Amino acid sequence: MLYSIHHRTRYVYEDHVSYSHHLARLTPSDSPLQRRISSRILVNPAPDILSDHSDYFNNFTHFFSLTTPHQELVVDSYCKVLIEPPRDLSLNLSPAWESVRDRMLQPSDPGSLEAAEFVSPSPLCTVHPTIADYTLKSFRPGTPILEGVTDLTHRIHADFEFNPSATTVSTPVMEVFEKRAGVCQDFAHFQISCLRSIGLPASYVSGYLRTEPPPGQPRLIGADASHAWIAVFVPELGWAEFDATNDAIPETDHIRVARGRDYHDICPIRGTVYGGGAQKLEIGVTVTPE
Amino acid sequence: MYPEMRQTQSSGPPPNPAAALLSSYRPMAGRFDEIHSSAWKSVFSELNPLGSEGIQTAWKRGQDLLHENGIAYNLLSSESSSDRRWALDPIPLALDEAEWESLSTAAIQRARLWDGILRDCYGPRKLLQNGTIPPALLFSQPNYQHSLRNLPETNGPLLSLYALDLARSPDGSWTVVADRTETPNGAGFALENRIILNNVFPGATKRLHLLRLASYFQKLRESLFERAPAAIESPHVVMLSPGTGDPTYFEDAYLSRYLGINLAIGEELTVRNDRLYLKTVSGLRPVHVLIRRVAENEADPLESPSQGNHGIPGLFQAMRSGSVVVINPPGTGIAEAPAFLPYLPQISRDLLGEELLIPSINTRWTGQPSDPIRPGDPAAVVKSAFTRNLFRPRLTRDLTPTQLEELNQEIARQPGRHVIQQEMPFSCAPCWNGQGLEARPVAIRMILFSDGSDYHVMPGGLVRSAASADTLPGLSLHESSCSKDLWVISRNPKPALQASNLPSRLTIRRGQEILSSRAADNMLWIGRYSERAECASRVLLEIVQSLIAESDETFPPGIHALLQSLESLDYLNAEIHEAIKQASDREQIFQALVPLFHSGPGEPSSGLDTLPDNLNRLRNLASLSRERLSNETWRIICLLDDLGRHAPPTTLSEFRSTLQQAIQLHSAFNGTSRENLTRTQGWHFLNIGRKLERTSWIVTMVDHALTTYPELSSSTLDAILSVIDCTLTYRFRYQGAPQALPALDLILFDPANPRGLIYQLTDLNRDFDQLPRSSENTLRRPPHRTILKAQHYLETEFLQSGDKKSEASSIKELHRFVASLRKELPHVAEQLGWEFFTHVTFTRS
Repeated sequence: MLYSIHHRTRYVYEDHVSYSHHLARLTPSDSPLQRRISSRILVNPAPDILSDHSDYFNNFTHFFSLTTPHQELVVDSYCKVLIEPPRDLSLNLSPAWESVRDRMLQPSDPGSLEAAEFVSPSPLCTVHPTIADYTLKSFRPGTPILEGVTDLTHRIHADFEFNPSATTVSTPVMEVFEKRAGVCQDFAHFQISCLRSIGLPASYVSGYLRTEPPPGQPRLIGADASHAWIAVFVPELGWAEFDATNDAIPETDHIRVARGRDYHDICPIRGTVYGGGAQKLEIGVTVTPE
Repeated sequence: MYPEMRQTQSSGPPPNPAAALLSSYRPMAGRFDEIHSSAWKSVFSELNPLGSEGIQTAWKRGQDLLHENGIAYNLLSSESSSDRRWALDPIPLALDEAEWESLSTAAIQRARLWDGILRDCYGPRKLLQNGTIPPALLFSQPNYQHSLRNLPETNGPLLSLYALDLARSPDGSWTVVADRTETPNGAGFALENRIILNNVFPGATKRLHLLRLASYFQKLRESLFERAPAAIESPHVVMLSPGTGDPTYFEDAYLSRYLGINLAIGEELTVRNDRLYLKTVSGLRPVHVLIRRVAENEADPLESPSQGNHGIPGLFQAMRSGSVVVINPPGTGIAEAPAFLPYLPQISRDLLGEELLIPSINTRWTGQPSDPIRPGDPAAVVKSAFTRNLFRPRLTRDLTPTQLEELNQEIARQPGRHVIQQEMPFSCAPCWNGQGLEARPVAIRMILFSDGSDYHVMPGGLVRSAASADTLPGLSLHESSCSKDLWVISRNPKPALQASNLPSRLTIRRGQEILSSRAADNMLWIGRYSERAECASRVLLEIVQSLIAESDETFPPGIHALLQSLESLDYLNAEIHEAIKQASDREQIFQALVPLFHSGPGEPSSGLDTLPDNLNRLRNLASLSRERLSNETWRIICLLDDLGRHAPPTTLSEFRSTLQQAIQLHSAFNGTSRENLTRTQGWHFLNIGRKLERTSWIVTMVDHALTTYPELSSSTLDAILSVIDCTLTYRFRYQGAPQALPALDLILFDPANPRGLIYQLTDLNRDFDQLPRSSENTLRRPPHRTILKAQHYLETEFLQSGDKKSEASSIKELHRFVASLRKELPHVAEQLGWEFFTHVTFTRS
C-alpha cells in the first residue's frame, strides 16, 4: 500500500518569539514492513539551521532553530511510504508469556537485549500491582504471549470509553485506569503499563491511521489524525503491534512514524521558545492512498 | 553571627588552657579513633600549646573570613553568615602521607572503573551482553540520558570530575560509602577551608609539611583548557551554575573566580547553529568547554522535558556537533545509584582485570530475588536504589516488627526500587565544640579530576563531621553537618610549587573587557532602579512638602499631576489615587502614601511598584555586579535599602526627613557613579539605564501637566520644577509664579539644565555612540535614532511666547512631541534588549 501524507503543525503565539529550538519526529523511519519512498520537511519562517539525526530509538529526528522573531510557526511534513501487511501471526504458536518474561531478565541475543529496555517503567508508563492484577486475567499460566495480548486488547477496547474530554496529554496512567476512559495515547500508555507490570516488553508506536471518508464524499484535507498504538516483543518473531483503540492488529492502514518507551520519547514536535507568551496549536493530517 | 556548635561541656569554668585541649575528650566505644594516627600526633603537638583560649582567639580570624566570604559571594545573606550551610570546624583531620597514597591509588582505580562503566552503558553495553549486570539495573535508572548515547563525548572520559565519600570501620580499614559522579562538589569548599585555616594557624601549616592544594587547582585549570575540541588557540571555558538561588552557588562562584573562568547561568548561554555561545554585549562568544553544575535532567530542556529552567536548550545538539565538551556530560549521575554497588567487584574484574582496592559499603539491591529483612539482621538503612531523595531513608533499628513487615511488603511490591545498606560505625575524630575537643563521627570526601587520560587526586579534601556525637555526618551539602579541612602530613618536605601562574611581567593593557549580556543587563537595571527610586522619592517629597506647607485643609492643587504620574508609573492604583483625592484630612493622605516607601516584611504584595521593592532589587543586582561598582557605591546602595526597612514614619515631617535622607543618598550614588566608576561598557549601560528612566519620568510628568492646558496652573509647574530640582534656577532667571512657556523651556529645552530633558537625551546619544557596533552595519540603531530625533527636535524647535494664540499652538505641538516620545521610550529599552541581551535582529514583517 502506498500513501502520501501531509502533516501540518501551526503555532500561533500571543507575543513575538525571539528565538527557538525544536526537535521533530515527523518523518517515518524504515522498518521491516514499511519503507520511506520520499520525505521533506518545510519550516516557515525559514530556520537558521535544519539538520537530522537518528535518535536513541532510531527515530528519524530533525533539529531546527529560528532566530527570526516570529508570531507564527508552520511546520509541514510531507512523505510517501510503502507498507506491506504483516505475516499472519499464529497467536497460539507464540511462546508462553512466562518464558518471554524470564528471557528479559537474562537477555542474550541482540533482539532481546534491545527489548529488555522496554520492560522497565518509563515516565509515562509506570507499573503498579493493581494494573498487574488486571493484566493477569488475560495471562493465565502458560498462555501464549500473543494470545494474551490479543485478549488484553479486546478487554481494554471493551472496558474503556473513547472520550477526548476525559484526559489531557499529561494524565497519569493510574488515572486513566480509574476513569476507564481516554484517547488512543492513553490506551497505548495503559496497555504498555499492563504488559510491563507483568514483566513483558512493550513499546509505544506513533503514526497515522488511514480513515475512509463517508461513501460518496471526497476525502477531507486535514481530517485524519495522529494515532498511537503499541508493540510487544516476542523472541524470534520480533515486535508485534496491537491497537486497543480500534481493537485491531495493525495491517496496512497504520502508518508508523516513531517508536519509544512512551509519548515523551517520540513527541512529534517539541520546542523551547524564548518569549512568545501564550500559544495556540493547530494540527492537520491528510493521509491519501495512491 | 556564626552558628553555635553543640556544647557538651557547659558547666564549670574552662580548666587550665595548656592541658585543656584533650581533657574533656571521650573516645566513642566501638569506633576507630583518628586520634591514634601519627599524623594527628604531629597536629596535636602544634595545637596543644595554644590551649583552648589560644584556639578560640585564632578561630575568631577564621570566623571573620567566613563571614567576609559569605558577604562577598552570598547575595541574600549580606547581614549575617548564619545561612552559610558550610560550618567549619578549626580542628583539621590529619592523615599520614603513606595512608593517603594508598587511598589515592584506590580512588583512582574507582574513578577509572566508573568511567569504564559509564562509557560502556552509553556505548557498546558489553556489561549487559555478558550478563555482568542485569538489564533492570541500567534501564530502571530514571536519569539515564538517552541523548548521551554514542555522542562524540564517549571517546574521551565521561567522568572528568569525580568525588567519593569514605569512612573508616572499627578495624581501621576504609570503606566507600558514596560516589559523586553527577556534579561532584566540595572542591571549592575544601579550598576555602584550607585558605581559612592557613590564616588561623599560619605557623602550624608551614611547619607540618602538609601537602598543598595549589598545584592541584593549577593542573585542573590547565587541563580544562586542554580539553577544548580541536585546535583552538584560546579556548573559552565556562562554568554553568544554577545561579544564586541554589545552595551550591557559593562554591561555583568561589571556584570559578579562583580558576579564572567565567561563571554563567543558563540564560546567559545560547545554542546557535549547533554551537554553544556566551551572550556578550559585543556579540556571541563561542564556548568550548562547559563545566556543568546544573542537574543533568535540567541541562537541556529540549531533549528531556523538566520543571527547572537552569539549562540550555539545544545543549545536546551542540555536543552532537562536537563543538563543545561538557564536563561532566548529563548522564554521569547514574553511577551514583547504590544499586550498582553489589556488582562493582565483578565489574572491576571484567573491565579492569583488577580486584577493588577499597570495598563499598555492604549493599543489597532488591532488583534481584532476595530474602526479606528479618528483625535479627544487622542494622541497615533502606533507601532509594537509583535517585537520591526519592523517598525518606529508613533505619531498620528504628522500626517495630510490624513496620518492618510493612517495609518488606513495600519492597516486594516494587522490586528494584530499594537498596538495603548495612549501617557502619564511622570512625570518630576530635572536633571543636567551642571550648575544647570532643569525639564525633567523621567521613571524608576525596576529589579527583581527569586530564583526559588519567586521574589526579586533590591532596586534601573535605571532611564532614556529625552535628553531635550520636548522629552520622550528613554527606550531602544540603545537610546540616560541620566541615573540616583534611591535612595530609608529609614526612618528606616538598618544595612549594610556584602558586601563581601569572607571568612575572605584565604587558600594559587598557580598555574593553568582555561584558556578558547578563552583566550588562544588570548594570542597565542598576541604573534604572536607582533612578526610579530617586524620582519616586523626589515626587513623594514634593507631595509631602506641599501637604506640610499648605496650612489649610484644602487639597494642594499642584500635586495632581504628580499623583497621576505615580499612578501611570505603577506606584499607585486608581483606587488609592481616588482615596487620596477624596481624603478629608492630611492623616488619611499620609497613611495612603506611607506604603510606597515603607513595607513591613510579610505584608501582602499589592502588585504595585514600591520603593522598598526597587531598592531591594537594586541591592540584589548590585551584589551580582560588585566587581563593577566601587565600594562606596555598594555601601550607599546598602544604606538606601536599609532606609526603607526602618520603622515607618509616624508624622508627615518625619516622612519628609526620611525622604530627604533618601535623596541625599541618591545624590551620593549619582556622584560616585559619575566620579568613581571606570568608563567601561558596563558603565555605559548603567548610565543608559539612569537616563532612560529619568527621561521617562520627565515626559510622564510633563505629559500629565500639558493635558490640563489651558488650565495648566503655576502650582503644577512649580511642583515639576521642584521634582527636577530647578526651582532655584527658575526663580533666579524669572520672577514670580512659574509661567508655562518659560518653565517648559527650562524643563525640556535648556541644554544647561542637567536635570532637563534635552540633557538626558544628549547623554543617551553619547552613550549609544559608545556601544559596541557590528562592523558590517554602520547605520544607527533604531533606539538610537529615536533618541537622536527627540534631541534634534528640542535643539531646533523654539517655544513661541508672543501671544496667547502662538502659546497655545506651541504647547499643542509640544504636547504631541512629549506624548509620542513617552510612547516610544518602552521600545527603546526593548530594542536595546533584543540586540545586546537576547541577540536577535528584529525585522518587522
